Amino acid sequence: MTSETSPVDQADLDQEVIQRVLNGSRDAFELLIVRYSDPLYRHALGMTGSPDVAEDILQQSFIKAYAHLGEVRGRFDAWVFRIVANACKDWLKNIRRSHISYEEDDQPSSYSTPEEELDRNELRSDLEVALAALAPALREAFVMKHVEGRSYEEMAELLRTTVGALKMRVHRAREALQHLLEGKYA
Amino acid sequence: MYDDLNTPEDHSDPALDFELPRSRTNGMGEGAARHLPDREVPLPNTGAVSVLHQWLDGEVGVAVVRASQGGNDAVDLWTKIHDEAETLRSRTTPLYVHKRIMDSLPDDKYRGHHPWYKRSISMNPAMLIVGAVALIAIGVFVARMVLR
Repeated sequence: MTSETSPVDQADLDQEVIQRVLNGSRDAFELLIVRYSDPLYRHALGMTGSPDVAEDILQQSFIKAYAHLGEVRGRFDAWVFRIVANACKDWLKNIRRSHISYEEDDQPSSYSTPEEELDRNELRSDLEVALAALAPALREAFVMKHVEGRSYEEMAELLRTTVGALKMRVHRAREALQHLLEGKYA
Repeated sequence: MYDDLNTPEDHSDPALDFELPRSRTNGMGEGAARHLPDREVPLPNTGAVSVLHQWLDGEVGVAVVRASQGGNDAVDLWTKIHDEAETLRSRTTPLYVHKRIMDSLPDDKYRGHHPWYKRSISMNPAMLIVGAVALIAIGVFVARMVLR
């Protein structure tokens, strides 16, 4: 997902690490965490809108991955992605949200003026509200396409569905978001 | 309970959509307070909408969208959304999360995972000689028993 080596080489490297963990080297698992946590964290953040929830989902997903590591068939990154993606969709289905997040955001600001930061914060909040109105599958497709910047082919491989179905979901999500936001921002 | 970690599209029940609280619509479109279902039906292929999707998928240039009806507004809106998405794309996992995950892993999950006959052993020359002498002694003993 985020490496300079080819996916095949990366899969071989992952398999080596997995074997080390299965042979009792618990610390080797940290290599997999460091290698894949960022794209998984971004996915969880895009899906939930909350850094705290994204961290919890990431933690629970890696614990689950560790417990079932002997069951990995094929690419580890795709396998662990599906664990995170399912956890995010479960969270979206179960949560009764009373607040909109990103508010615990401790990342440094990159805006030049307070007014610009205020505008962007308002857009961020409105975008989060609009995303929350989408069905989980539509939100997932939109986040993977526009936040994570994945190709339709990569999305289809990770979600084990067709490019056509994903294009449909992304288009539906865009139209819904545009409908919700255009009155205020366009 | 069976927990299938490889289940792909098992979490897209369209009946479980969100209904946005009206108090949170914050001046956005009226449709914000209704369900937005996940329907996989053919999309209406109207010109301006189609061109917008093609632009967002990187298939046509922005000039084509701007030339369509309502194109300028759509481009402005999606440029803002894209900028926001770029900000999200630069996010990284806080470092303390790595440590938190490692600290919460069980200590002995895979310790002794392999049975004894699959484990590797190491021997020094002295152990090798002792082992060989023992095997020869056993062989002599067995041979004498058989020949008696």
